[in-house]
Amino acid sequence: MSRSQAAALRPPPPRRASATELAWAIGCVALALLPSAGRIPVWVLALIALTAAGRLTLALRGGTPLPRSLRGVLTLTALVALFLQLRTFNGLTAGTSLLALAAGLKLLETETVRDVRVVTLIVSFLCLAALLAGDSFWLLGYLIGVCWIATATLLRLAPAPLVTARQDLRLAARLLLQALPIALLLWLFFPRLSAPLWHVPSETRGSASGLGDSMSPGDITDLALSEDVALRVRFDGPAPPPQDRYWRGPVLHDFDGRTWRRGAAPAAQRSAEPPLPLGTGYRYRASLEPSERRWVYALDTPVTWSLANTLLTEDGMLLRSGVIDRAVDLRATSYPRTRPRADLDARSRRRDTALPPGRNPRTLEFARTLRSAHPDDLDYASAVLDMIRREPFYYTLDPPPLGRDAVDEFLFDTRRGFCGHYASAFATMMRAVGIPARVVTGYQGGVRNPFSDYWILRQSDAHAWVEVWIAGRGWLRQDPTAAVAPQRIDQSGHPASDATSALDVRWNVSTPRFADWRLRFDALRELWHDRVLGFDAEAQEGLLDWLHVPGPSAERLAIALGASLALAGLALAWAGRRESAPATRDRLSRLYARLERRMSAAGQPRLPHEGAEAWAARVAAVRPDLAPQFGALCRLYSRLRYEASAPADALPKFAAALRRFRPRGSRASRESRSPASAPSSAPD
Amino acid sequence: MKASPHGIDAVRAQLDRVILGKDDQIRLCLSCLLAGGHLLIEDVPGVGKTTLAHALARSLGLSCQRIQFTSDLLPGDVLGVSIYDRDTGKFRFQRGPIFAQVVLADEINRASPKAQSALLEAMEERQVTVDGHTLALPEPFFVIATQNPHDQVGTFPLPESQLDRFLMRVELGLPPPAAERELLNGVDRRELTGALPPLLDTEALRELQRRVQRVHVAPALLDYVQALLARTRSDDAVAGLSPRAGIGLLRAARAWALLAGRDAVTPEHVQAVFPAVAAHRIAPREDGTALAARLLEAVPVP
Repeated sequence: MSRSQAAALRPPPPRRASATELAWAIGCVALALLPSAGRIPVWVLALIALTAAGRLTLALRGGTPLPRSLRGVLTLTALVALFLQLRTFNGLTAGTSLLALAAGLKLLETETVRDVRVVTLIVSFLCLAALLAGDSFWLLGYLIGVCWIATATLLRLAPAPLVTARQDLRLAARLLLQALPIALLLWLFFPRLSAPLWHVPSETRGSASGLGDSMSPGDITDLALSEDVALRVRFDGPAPPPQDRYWRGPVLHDFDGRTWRRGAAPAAQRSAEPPLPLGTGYRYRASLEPSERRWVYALDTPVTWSLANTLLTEDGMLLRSGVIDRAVDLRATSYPRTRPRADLDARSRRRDTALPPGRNPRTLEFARTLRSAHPDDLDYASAVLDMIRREPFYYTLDPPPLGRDAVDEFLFDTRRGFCGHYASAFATMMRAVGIPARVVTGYQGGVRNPFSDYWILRQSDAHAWVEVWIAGRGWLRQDPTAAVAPQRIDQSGHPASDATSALDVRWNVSTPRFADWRLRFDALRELWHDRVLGFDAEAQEGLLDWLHVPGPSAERLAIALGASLALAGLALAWAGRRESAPATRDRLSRLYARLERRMSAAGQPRLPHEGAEAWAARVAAVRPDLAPQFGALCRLYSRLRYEASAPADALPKFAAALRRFRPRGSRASRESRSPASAPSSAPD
Repeated sequence: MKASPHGIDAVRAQLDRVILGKDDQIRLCLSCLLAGGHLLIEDVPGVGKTTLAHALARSLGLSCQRIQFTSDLLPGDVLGVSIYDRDTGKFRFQRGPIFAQVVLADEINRASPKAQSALLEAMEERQVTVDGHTLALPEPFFVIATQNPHDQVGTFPLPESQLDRFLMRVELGLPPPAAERELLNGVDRRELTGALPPLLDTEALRELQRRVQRVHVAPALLDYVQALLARTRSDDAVAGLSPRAGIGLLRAARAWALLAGRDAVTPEHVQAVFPAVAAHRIAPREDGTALAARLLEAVPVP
């Protein structure tokens, strides 16, 4: 080995990272930390900022880095502090914080380009951690951007960097684009598991808003002001009319004169005899935002539904075994009209006719008077609704405060309130005369997104209504709020949530352009949610079915995935080969390439440095059966390629001979060859 | 005598009878001479270097002179000296052994650089200048030099620039067992050489040399030769081939093609002569042949 060769084998001394390269890597870390910054303890962020600033100063001004022992102490202290604060190293917060610490502390000991590369690689993991915490369309776009910059940073750290950052960014974009098909394949075909392989302990969000399991006057006002989305619904067929778009949430039974409560008794009991569905049902998919509650909003009355660990309770609620801490999709079919299979049992009847003793005496008195005129239960309910419609009841989100006998004061004095007041008063009126009644809270109405044909229900669509038991017909929904005369709806100050007409005002008339864009963005988000996040095992099965892959299983998927990846790799290799091969290849070259492929298949490939005749001679020695045809072909090629003037018909002759030449594999020829005709001729 | 490939085939056949089992080397030597290049035969003593050189000269029908190079050889011993003629009272130039069509320079690395350079300058210029007189050397003019690579004591290895003047360096190697048996059984090779009839003459040889120049070289082959040359230059382990070496390589390949009875050069012809042409240029002090083979394997044939 010559000296120069030895020198080439010796690795070059590691290159020290420059300040610019450090700045790139630090920038990547900062960008990747941004989405998770809220979750990471502040002191960790401060420590990272400190180490980054220190390392940059060191690179720019020079100086002595922290001694090794001090770095060790710092690392240990930080880890202990993190554990003391979070009490665990498990979970998303702890994991993200650890990663962030790793990136920050690694900066302290970066010297060579290789170290900076490690820091840049941590960025990828930070991006992954951010994706574990959130799944929004925008977050993914942002993180792809971060990955792009990180890739460009890695390119800048390459031994021979391109001249400008712009070129590196362009190349990084190209690299990411080239990775796109593979990412797509993985996304489409990676086996979906019904249960996740691991579970990231979820972090309780205090901010989730929604309906609670009790209702006092004034509760829903807060919700009415919230524009947060509660659920999105896509109907398989036409959407139900407004009087059927009541999304049932918690059913409240116990009343203390002021507050309605869910109580405990029927919470998780599965309804023994569900009501008989009548008429046609609505099939829909409802995407529920995390609510940190157990109930699942559904239309009256869900008959079939697909959501893990979800039961239908006795009072018609869908109840999950755990709280909804992340967005879930409910697929269900609901029948607005049903018939009960049995009469109301005594315990339920007792419960739903109970009133607190000594409260709201005026209401009880009035109810008894009204009842004497309307002995029929339904008649009586209509009469109450009629009263609300006739009398000067006002709908307002800014009602006067109510005292101890809240229903009395509302019905006879203030007459101003919103759904909660009306529902509470109506149910009291019913119970006062012994008609079983219960308050139901949920969402009503919603707005249809014209860009993607689905319905959005916001917290401001929260509503409360009443269900009364009518013998033989079951629980019937009565919405006393809807009975308020439209001219008495107060639109001043607060948006009215209960009336659909008011919704129209808010969404479509007041600021049409803004509403338009909001709906457009929401449609995009819904598309993302539906098509990308919602691409579950079932959707994958559908795709495989469409691709005529029978009986998909995880193994088959893995095989399909492997095959697809291999194909992608081959395509890439092919593209690479095409790039390196000369662009123009004449017909002779193509024919020769075909000959090479055929011989390759027959087990006698040409060595790259082998000329045609040398190849023929070598093959003749081991495969005399091929020699006459193959030898002639090679001689012809050699003449065509290298001689001054080949006859005009030589090329067609070569092509024709090539068409006739079908070499078989070596095994077949060995069998057919008799010992007498064993190779005797050495290559000439 | 006809200047045909058949003539040269007869020469080859005759040489094969003298140097047994060395057909490839004989072809290389003949190619070298047909290409008009000088030949360096390198090997240990006793494998027939000198015999080959003599047989070559005789078979081609050329005049031959042998110079045994020693450490005390002077340039005058090679080129000739002017001596005083008492009868005429003038200096008369006594031509040295270099004035022959084939000069056999035995053990060239034993001579001092001074004597070596006298020979090597003549090789390049094909003329000799002594005492202000320039004398042309005969046509054709070949130098067939031999050297012993292992014997390094008291030798003056040829510098790279002078090695470059030899178109080929051929290693003879030991004869294969069957050939050696025949050698042991047969007559003395020197006697045999003395009795060899000339099969060509000067005119026929010149005609053959002209035919070498007419052997066709296709663009595809030039691509290949250029790729080979480029490869030697990009490889850190070897010294790159000069353009002169490239021209020589192509000429040798043409001669090889003619010897093979072809009127166009193919990559196989280039590959056949490449180690002999390139080895002593790319790695003068080391095993250039293996390196040359490695280079060949690294360059794909179009």
